[in-house]
Amino acid sequence: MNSAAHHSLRILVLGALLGTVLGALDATDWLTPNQQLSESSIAAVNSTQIRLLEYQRALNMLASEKRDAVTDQDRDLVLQRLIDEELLIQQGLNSDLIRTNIAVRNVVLQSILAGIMVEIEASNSQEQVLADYIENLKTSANIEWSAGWEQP
Amino acid sequence: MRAVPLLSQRYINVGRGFLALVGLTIALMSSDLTLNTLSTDNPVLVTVNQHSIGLQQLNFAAQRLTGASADTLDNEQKNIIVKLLIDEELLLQRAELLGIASADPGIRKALTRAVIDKTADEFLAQPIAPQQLKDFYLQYQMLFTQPMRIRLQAYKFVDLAKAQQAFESDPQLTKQISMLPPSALPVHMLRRYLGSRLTDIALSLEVGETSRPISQPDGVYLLTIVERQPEQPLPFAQVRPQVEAEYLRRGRDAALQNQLIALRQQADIRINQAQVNKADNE
Repeated sequence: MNSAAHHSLRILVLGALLGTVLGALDATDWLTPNQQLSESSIAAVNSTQIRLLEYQRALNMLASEKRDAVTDQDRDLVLQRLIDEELLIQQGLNSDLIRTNIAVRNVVLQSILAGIMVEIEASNSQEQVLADYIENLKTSANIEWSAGWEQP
Repeated sequence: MRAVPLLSQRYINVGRGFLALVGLTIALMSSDLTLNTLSTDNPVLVTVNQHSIGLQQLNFAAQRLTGASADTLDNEQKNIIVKLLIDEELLLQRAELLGIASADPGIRKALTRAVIDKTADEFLAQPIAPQQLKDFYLQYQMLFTQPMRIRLQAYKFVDLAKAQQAFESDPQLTKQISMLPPSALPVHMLRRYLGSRLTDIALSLEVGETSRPISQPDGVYLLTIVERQPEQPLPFAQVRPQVEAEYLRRGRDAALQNQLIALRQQADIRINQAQVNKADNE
């Protein structure tokens, strides 16, 4: 084997080894930094932290509905329900419900439009601001039309 | 230096090419890239940053906006709707980028509701075999059992002397008008009419037996048991609609529970126990 072939083989083996090591590290979560929970968080579900404030708010709500004092069991139940809620939200986002579920889609669009409305209200040419905003999004987007579609 | 035979060099190149193809396939499989054009039931019209807008979305939006299918619209109208879908897609992507989708309380609520509904719908879409219902009926037969009913007469007197007099003379007692409906009632209804104490006394009587006068703050009572109908399981054919309703209700709940268990098993959940204790002590 000539030296060039030897050299390329060495790079190939090195690359394969590096790939294997990185793959193994990723599979065992070594590459993902074990995020410390912040002082203001009560729990973390995957990468999302549940804030202490939310927990306290949920506990207060339960306390206001209960005649007796809140027990440890109630507190655990509240925490588990917050975790369940976060799991369901993440599942909804992962299954693309913001596009496929009409109710969720509408709420998301309303929410983002509400943010733009602040700008619109401050402007004289109201419709122009929204048009400009969307036009701005379009310029940075990659929009590809299907070959079979008679596009405008 | 030794020359590498031409044939083995070719094998090496083919091997490397094969490995490169395997690597590329794995990379493509692990990426989020979807080969939209391969979908036949929802042909792609346009992609916006890799997110496709297909014929299904166009039809759905046409139905929503005009009340008619996209087939009934001309090209110009279709293009207006597709442009609207592009604008919406851009706004949705912006919302995702800004994290609004997971932070806005209204969206969180809508997402939770949507996932719960989707889980329930998936369960409800499954056909129910008659045997499944029958098994469910047998498993939860207590739910489909008519409870014990009692036909009871309850008489109220202003004082103990009158009650005692009626208790000792049958003709006088039968002249009285019972304060309960003449039909047999389940125990919970008796409690509603008479309260716990009188009902407990009534339950201890035999059929045909009349209680001794019972003093209550509002008067003196005499109770007579006329008939006691024991609890009886209702036949499956008679309660089939109730069995099905209960089966669906419990099934929906179980499907959601199973979904949550599966999500928990896949998730990385960490609890800040120190913060929990601190919050609980405050």
